[in-house]
Amino acid sequence: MTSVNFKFVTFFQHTAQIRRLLLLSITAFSMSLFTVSAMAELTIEISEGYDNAIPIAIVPFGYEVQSTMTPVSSKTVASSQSPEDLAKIIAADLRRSGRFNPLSNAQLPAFPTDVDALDYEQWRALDLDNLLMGKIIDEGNGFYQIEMRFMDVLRKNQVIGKRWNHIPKSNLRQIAHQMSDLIYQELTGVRGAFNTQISYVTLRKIEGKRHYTLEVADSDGFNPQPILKSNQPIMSPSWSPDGKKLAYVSFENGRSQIFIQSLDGKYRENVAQFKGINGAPAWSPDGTKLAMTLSKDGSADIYVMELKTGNLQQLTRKYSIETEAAWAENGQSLFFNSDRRGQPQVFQVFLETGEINRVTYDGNYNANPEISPDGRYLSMVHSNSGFHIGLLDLYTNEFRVLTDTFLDESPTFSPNGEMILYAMNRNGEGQLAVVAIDGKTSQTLKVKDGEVREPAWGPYLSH
Amino acid sequence: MLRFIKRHPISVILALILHIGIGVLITHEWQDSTESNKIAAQGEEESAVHQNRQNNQFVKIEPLKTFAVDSALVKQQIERIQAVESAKKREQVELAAKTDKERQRLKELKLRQKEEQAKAEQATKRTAEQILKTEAERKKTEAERKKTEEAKRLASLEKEKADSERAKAEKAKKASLLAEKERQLANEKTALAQKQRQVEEDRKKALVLEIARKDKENKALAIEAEKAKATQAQATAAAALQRQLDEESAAQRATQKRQQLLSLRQTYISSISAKVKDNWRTPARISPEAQCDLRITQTPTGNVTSVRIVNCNSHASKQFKDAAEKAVYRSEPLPAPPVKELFERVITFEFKP
Repeated sequence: MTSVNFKFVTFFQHTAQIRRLLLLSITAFSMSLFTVSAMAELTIEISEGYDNAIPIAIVPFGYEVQSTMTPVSSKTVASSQSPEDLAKIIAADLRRSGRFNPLSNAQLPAFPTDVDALDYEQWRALDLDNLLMGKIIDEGNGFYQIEMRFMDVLRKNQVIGKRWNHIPKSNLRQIAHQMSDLIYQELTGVRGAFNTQISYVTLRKIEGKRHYTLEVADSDGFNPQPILKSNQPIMSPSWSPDGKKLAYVSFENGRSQIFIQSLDGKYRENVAQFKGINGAPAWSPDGTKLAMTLSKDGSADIYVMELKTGNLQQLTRKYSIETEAAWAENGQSLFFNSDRRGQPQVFQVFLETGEINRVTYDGNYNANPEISPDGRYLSMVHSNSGFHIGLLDLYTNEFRVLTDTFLDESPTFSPNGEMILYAMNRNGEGQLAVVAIDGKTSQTLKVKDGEVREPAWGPYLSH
Repeated sequence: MLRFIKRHPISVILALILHIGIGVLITHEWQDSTESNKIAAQGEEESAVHQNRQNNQFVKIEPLKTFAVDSALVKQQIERIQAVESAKKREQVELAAKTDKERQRLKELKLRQKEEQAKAEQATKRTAEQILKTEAERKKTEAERKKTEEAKRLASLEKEKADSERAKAEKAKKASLLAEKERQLANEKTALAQKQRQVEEDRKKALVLEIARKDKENKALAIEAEKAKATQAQATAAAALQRQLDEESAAQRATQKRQQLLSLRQTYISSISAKVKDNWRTPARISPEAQCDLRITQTPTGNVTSVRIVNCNSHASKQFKDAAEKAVYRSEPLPAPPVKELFERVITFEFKP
């Protein structure tokens, strides 16, 4: 989540001071709305991986057509006819995590699809620990049965065996991500976040005009779906905890306003249209409240809105700018940034008492706080010279700078807390990047013909 | 007896008749007396009855009893005696007749016996003749056989005689030879005796010398033994000292070796632990404080047969344990021990990646 004021400034200026001065003028700036027809997929480049990524074999899945005449017997068909290359999706997921180094198909000595066909020694010779194999069985009528077997090559046993029945073609990628999640959890002890979605805003300039689109895609950038198209800026998307709605800031009415919209587009509501700035919405963990930045009383302060009633609770009352609120994982406090000490630093405010504590001390600029799902880590845009993603361990107070990219902003944690998705600037264009919280792997996500900004990583999907 | 009867048949018969007669008379007399006894007994009984009656009732004077002799009864008695007499006479006549008959029979028997005897004598005579005849023949052959045997015997005697003469000659010869030999032997014996005496003397002399020598030798030996004893005592003491020294150094060596082995064992286990650490890898985020003991069972070739992860602390997650186990399998074959005797099938060590 990024605040309206800071976000827009970063489009043009690279210093915090200028951004702050330009705040009000930008909110008054309006653009015409128009539709962008073409949806470009995000492409992901892995810029850095673990030195000690574990080799793993993801064998192409077998493809069989279940005969309607004899349902028991099935015929193996060349996997080129397979409706989806599940192995490729899984391999990419695992590679993106930075922890695994899936072998290429050319490196695989065999293509077993069943335990009987597996020669453990053959695989062990490749210095492998684990191997995934499976089958796609065409049930007919566009539905498929999927079978996975995750094998331990060293201990010679099956670690995971699972089958999905009656899966439509459109959901096959999702099944592949679920398999990645299972493997990731088995080997790392942490739930995988491959079967999740991300939202972001793309900006294309066509004939001198700006085209903004709020999109939702799979975590690997596939299946991008437009949620909102506008020729006015769209900013700070925030996922509802159930993953079904997004709150965001739209300038479609000539100034910043906060909207809540369901992903299926059936529901949309303008929840904050106060005088001045309406920005930086953040959904409470229980989904009943929305924290936001309002400047209706002069200066920008942190408020919490009860979504049912629309009642507002003001948490900060300072002349200084307080913005970009993020909920603590227990919902009892909020982290925000404030320049009350001259330069933006992260503070914490407790809802019950209104007590405020300073949290960050490293560097002269710490803004845009985000809390990891387990409440342990605080990520932020950090600057000593240049803007990078910093990570503060709230348990140990250890602080680290995770990125070395340029003009980083809008960090957002994956639901398992392992990765941080953020926006950055490369060659003057906005791109997304992912970094592991241990800083050991990173990758970039970009669209072909435009810029991409304002990322937000969605929660676990409920199936 | 029979011969007597044969010799005096008439007198015997007469004696027999006389005896029989006496016997008959005696028998008759005995029968009469028994009859009268019976009557007397009857009378006594009757009187006894009377007496009883008298005793029971009263004393009654009996009238005098008289016996009337019946003439018929006497007659009968006389007749009976006469019949007996006649029967006796008859019997005597019959006996005489029988005796005559017997005599006649005996005569005939004697005649027949004589005849038979004559016959038998004749037969004996014939057989005797026969026997004589065969005997004569046998004798004849016997005589012939004897003759030839005699001839043979004579021949052999001749031969024996010749032999004995030859033997005698030989004996004489032998005797002379023997005498010669004996003479020689006696000569030899005397020579031998002389020699023996000489030898004995020599031996005695030698023995004396020998004894003297032995004595000397013994003395020398005793000295030698004494010397040897001393040397041996010295040697024993030295050996004991050496042994003690050896034992000490052996114990020292054993201790050294034990320590060496211990340190080698430590090196061995460390080398296994190091290899497992080298092969440690995990995609999981592991607490740096995580720690477990690995209990590895291996074959002599260093192949892992089982891995047990035990005594883990609270920081050791499932992923840590899995990764540790995999690291062990990835380390196959495990390093061989530097010394064969250090091989251990089950190795346990603390593992902290």
